[in-house]
Amino acid sequence: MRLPAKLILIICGMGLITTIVAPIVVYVAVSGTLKSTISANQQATASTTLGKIDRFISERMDELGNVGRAQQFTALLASPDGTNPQLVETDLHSVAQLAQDWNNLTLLDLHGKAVAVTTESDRNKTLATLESSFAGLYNRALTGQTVYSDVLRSNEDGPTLAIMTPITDRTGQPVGVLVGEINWSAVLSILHEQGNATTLLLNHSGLEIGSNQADTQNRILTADRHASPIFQQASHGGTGTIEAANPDNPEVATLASYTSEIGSRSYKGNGWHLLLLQPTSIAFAPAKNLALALLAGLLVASLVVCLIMFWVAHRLITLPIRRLSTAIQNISLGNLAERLEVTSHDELGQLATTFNTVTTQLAATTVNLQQEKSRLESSINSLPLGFMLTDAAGDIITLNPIMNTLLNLKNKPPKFTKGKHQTANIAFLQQLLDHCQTTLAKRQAFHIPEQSYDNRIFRLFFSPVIQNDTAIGVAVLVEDITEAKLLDRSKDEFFSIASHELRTPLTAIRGNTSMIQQYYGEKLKDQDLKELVGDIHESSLRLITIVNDFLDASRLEQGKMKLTLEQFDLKPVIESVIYELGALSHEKKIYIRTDNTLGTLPLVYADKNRVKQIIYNLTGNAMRFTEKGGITIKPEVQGDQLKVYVTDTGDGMSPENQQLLFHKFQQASDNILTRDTTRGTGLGLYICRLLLDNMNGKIKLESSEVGKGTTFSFTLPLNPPKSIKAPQAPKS
Amino acid sequence: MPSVLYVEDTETMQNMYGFALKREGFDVTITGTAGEALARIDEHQYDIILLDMMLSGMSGMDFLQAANLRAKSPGTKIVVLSNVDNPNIVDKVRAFGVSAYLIKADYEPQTLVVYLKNLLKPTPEAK
Repeated sequence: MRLPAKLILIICGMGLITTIVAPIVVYVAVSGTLKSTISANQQATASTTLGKIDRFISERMDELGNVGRAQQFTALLASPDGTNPQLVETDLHSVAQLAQDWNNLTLLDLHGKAVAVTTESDRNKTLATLESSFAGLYNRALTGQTVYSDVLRSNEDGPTLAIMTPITDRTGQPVGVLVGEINWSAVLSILHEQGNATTLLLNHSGLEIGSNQADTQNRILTADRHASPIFQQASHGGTGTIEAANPDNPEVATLASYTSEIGSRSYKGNGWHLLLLQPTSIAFAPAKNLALALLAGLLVASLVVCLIMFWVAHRLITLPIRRLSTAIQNISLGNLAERLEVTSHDELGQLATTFNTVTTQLAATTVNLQQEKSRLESSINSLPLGFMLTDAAGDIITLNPIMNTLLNLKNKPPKFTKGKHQTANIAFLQQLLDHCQTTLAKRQAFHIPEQSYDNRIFRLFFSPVIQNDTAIGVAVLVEDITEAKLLDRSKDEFFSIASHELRTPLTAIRGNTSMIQQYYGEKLKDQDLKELVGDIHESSLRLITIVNDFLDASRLEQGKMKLTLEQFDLKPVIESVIYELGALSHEKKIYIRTDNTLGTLPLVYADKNRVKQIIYNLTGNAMRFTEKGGITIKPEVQGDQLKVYVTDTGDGMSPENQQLLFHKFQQASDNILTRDTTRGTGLGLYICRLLLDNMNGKIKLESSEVGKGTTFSFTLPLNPPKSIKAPQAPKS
Repeated sequence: MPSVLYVEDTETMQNMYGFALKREGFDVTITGTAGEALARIDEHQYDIILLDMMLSGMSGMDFLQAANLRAKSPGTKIVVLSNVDNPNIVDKVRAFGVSAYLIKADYEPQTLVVYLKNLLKPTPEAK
């Protein structure tokens, strides 16, 4: 998943939580608050409405009381015959019609007889005929108070409420009662002032005495609601609002407010209750709508905030990260010129700065590496040798042009795999790769001095590439030494032939002079002649030695020397050398001796004749440089080797001359012109060294001091080597 | 008297080694070519064949190949006497079961005679 997508996910998640939870909380809170406000409002309306009714009745009581204090009523009642009731009735009419608050007004005398009326049908009626329930009220009015009734169902004019006020004379004695019957429509009109809510006015026993409904007239004092839970609640007095079922339609949830009469001034109430009923769906609709509007608004707002947050996050975080990512991709594709614009000082800005620094360094390093690589590549390509590099699996990574030519590869795929090469020399390549595997396994460099393939001769070098102690590949060098070998071979052939041709006449000279000396000794009585023949013989010997030395050195250098390695006792070898040089030592009056432990020596593993040659050579050399004293040959076991010391009491060598030992044509003498005095070819020690190299031995100058003598030593193994080692390259 | 067939084409060598051998009591037959030598071994069984390697025409090696001496005369000892000491040649010659491969330059006539006499002793001290 990409980073921007993740960011969107996180922000959207957060946004979603905010967007959904917050508005819901607000919705619940708002709708709850609004509902209680609505309930309170409805309750207040109920109280207000009932209060208006109470005030209305109270006002009517005051009005009737005021009317009743008019002098003409007292006058009419005091002398009914002397006063024209017509005038009084006119006044009553004007009061009754003034605000349409009264159905009718009737003036009763102390006998309960109507003396003035506003309704013609009431004329001549008495208290008893007027209204049965008036009597009690009338009597209470005569006591001097304005009194009122509960709702009455009058015969003609529907429900009403009667108010009676006493009429008194100057002394305060009641002379009659003024009766007012309230126009109930005025009360109902107060109920109608309410809007949509169903308004019910109930008397103390739960009978409906008014409502704002159309058929209210028919139900007054007949519709009984005392059983409804709302009335039950209201009958306890006080005001309140409950949610309950509609008394008429129980399926409709209703918000019901109730209030009980508390009266107004002289009107103390009749224990009426006012109910305001409204279906909750309608009552709470504004709350719900408002909350929903808020919800919608909040949702939109949250969404907008989310988008803004995302945009900001995108600008501030994902965009720089994406730029960084693109830049890194570009760099991985090799575009090291890529740089990032640093637009901020925050972590991303620091990252961009660091990135630029690293890229700069990387570019510099890459340039260096490329230069290094180019140098290395051109070095490898200009090598006069075939070069090949493999990886840790042994597959070829690099070939230089010479290697390509040597292997005669027809194609050069980017990566070479074993067995997939189009080459005429597949067998040779396979050999090389096998050697690479060996090198990888042993993690050791090795070289094959000579390997023939397809009429060519190669010298092979294998070296493991080690990094952190792990072989990560093999470097292979292949040198075509065919020409050199051909040259060597022709040199060898030349030597062979030359030596043969030289040796034959030398053999004749040596053999014949030797026979003259032996068979014709008595004829060589002339001392001069004897010496001449002796010199010829000796010179032929020297020449033969020189030819032999040259041949030996040449063959050792080319690894052509064939050695017969076997286990043998050194004792007879040393003894034969001492025997052969005995005559000469005797002549020079020096000794050659050996250790008397010769019989206890273990066998050595070497070429017997060549070991004799080495001892002969060292002893002969020592003899040449020794004029006094003699030579001691002393073998000694050292571990798994036998060490032979050849010590003389001769001239010794200067340190400068010591350094030149064991090298070709180097003799321990200061000047080439003085060489003849030593009577050697200068190849003796060199040949000894090469011979011992081939027999796992070592030659060493132990010590040499001018005037005191020299000690050479060489070692020979006691046992055959455990594994057959590849023959060492000749060192020249 | 031990009989020796000396196959050698160089006259100085024929004279020198022939002289010493005859003087020391060997019955010496000298041939200059390998072909002639092949003819001789069919006629006579020699105690020793002294064989040079470098011969004109057929070489010493060719002679060994052609002679099949081990089957023909198992009693005959072959001693190669040559100044050729090329290791390859020496190895090949040794494979024919020769008694010795001697380098002329290392063997004066008298030394050779001593060597051959030793070789013919009942318990020969083979080199």
